[in-house]
Amino acid sequence: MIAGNLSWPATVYAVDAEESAPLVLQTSPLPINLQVDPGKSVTTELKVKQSGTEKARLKVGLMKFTAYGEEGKPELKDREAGDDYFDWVKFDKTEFDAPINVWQTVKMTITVPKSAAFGYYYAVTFSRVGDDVKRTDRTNSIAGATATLVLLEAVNPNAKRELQLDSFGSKHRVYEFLPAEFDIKLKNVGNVHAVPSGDVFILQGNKQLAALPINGGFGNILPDSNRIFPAKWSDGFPHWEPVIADGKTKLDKNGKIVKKLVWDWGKLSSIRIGRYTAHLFAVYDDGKRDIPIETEITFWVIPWRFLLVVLVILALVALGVYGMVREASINWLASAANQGHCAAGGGND
Amino acid sequence: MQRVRRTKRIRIVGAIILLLAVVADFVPIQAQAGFIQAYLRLDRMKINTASGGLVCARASLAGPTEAKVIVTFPSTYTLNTTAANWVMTTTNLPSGATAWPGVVSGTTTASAVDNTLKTATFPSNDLPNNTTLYCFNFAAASTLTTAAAAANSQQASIQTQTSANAVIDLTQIALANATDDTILVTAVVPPSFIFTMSGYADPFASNLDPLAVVNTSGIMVDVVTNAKGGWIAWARSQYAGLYSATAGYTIPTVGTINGAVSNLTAGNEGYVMDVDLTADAASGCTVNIDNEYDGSTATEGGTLSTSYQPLAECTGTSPATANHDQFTLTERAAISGATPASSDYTDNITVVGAGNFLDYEVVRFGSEMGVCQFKCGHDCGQFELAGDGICG
Repeated sequence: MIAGNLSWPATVYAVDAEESAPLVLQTSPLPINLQVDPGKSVTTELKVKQSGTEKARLKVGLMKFTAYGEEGKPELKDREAGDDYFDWVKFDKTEFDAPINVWQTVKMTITVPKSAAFGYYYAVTFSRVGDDVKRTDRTNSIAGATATLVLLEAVNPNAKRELQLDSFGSKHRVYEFLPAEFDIKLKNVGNVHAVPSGDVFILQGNKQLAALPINGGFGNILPDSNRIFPAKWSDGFPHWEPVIADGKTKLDKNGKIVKKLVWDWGKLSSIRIGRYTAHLFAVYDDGKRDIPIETEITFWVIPWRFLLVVLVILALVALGVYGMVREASINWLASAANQGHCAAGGGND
Repeated sequence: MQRVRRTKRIRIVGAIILLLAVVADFVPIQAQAGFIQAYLRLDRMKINTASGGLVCARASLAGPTEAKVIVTFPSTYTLNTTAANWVMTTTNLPSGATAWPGVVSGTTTASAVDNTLKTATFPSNDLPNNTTLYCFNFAAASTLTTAAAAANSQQASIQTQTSANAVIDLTQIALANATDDTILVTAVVPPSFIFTMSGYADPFASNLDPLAVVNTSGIMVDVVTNAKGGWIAWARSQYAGLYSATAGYTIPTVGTINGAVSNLTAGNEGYVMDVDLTADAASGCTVNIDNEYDGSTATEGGTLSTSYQPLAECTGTSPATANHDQFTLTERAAISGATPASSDYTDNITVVGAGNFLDYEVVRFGSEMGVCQFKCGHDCGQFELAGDGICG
């Protein structure tokens, strides 16, 4: 190694892959919603199970999460200056032995001061002790962890739940075939998290063709952040679908989803051509009543290649018919001319 | 003299009586025998419930010729006296049992049913031996109704008779009825998030070299969750580079967090992490690798940060669950000819996964009710809640 240090090129060494036991962590429940009156405590149970190949020791960490950016991407962050609400949290244990396949329960108690108000968003992480130590063998450490998100609302009469529609858009203005994909971007301009719900109604003229639920999982939008909810209309003939192989979506060499055009002849009546309207109707509960959010956009479905083939076929048929008629006419004229000629010749005779 | 004769007569009569009493025990008599084995298994034990049943018996003797089998039900039962309803079948018999002789499955019916005597009489051929258990079923439709009240040890019997109505075998049985005979099985599928990493040590495949971009062997992450909103994974680097304590030097990450991959070139120092989609499980959510880390060549990757950055997420219309979505983390590094040599260049990367932040309990009813209130002008009914959003 020392010789290596002195030689050129300046080689940085690597070693063989070290035995590193896989990490398998299971947590339940998933995001936890808590409501508490200021000045009181609330306790919740977090469950974690490790199913690796050997007994492990797990540790509990506390972080915060929020959402950022135009798309409202979830963001995981360490405690920052002023995050006093981290001090409200106590765990009954912060490090513990975890035998294989045995659920461990960690009690999280949050004692909320009287001055607390609105929303606080914690991420409780579970990770294996020792995975994140600095290695000396020119090998990177990759420590894994799961995070259970805890949404705490300190009940306050001044809580403001207000969502605004930032945008409602279609992926394309014109689709050749379905699915048509829509994004509903909502912004939380209140001071506590809120949950929108509703549908995108697909209409052709006044006829309703589909109702696409949005936020069927009842996801929260955190205060002062955006969140995009997708909706997809696939009920068409034909329509694109991901290719499934061995229970997995098939990917191309660039990791992109491979799609195929599905011709389900049983859905021939669902052929989509023309102008459609996507009507968004969503609501959220502001604590007193349901507040509606409503708008609509239009889009087109034009299966142009399909139509082109049909047109070409029709044109060929028309040409064929025209050719046949023309040939028949010529033959008839020629025949008539011959008959006339013969008749004339006969007369001459 | 007369007195002597009377005494003698009394003694003779007494002796005869005594003799008869002793001999009587040894005189064979013709008696009803019991089956070696016999049982009646009703399809339902619940009170006041229509039930079919299974009749099984093993004769005590091979000799007599059976012509009918009579089942006597408890007095608390109600029998439909239309004999044609009591259709006999010989399907799904217990293991080792044989179809009752003379029964044409699905065709043969009871020959007589008496609701006063509580008897159902079925035709039978001779049971040819006493080593076989013979069985038949009788139908449930419009035949037997169990007792109106729960009770145990309700007397019933099974008997076989000859064509001359002589009893061959008769066995008493007891039936019980309960207020309910079903068990409601319920199960809970708790929300869960399973995060698997193939290991925690990710060595570079070869020595770093100014003439090449070198990769680690890679760590695969597998996610299984029933979170309806999918999942998300973040990562952060301890050094935002490959740090050597010995050399006191860091091979820095390149680029900025800008939603686009960075490219390494041999001979120029740099360190990035690439995230490749390994498997997107069918149905459920669709995995998206963050553009920052979605390298498409062996030299591309994303800038590493000391704060958590999203690596990948799985989203889609609800339920956006995941059943073994997989992605692979690969770090790539390039050095220049001037990079200090050392054997301890390393980085600590922490990867955190979570189910997307959803609420399973909040205002679901209120929100959907709102849709109907505003769209339809009234609260939703049960079917509207579960339906396609069209007003009822």
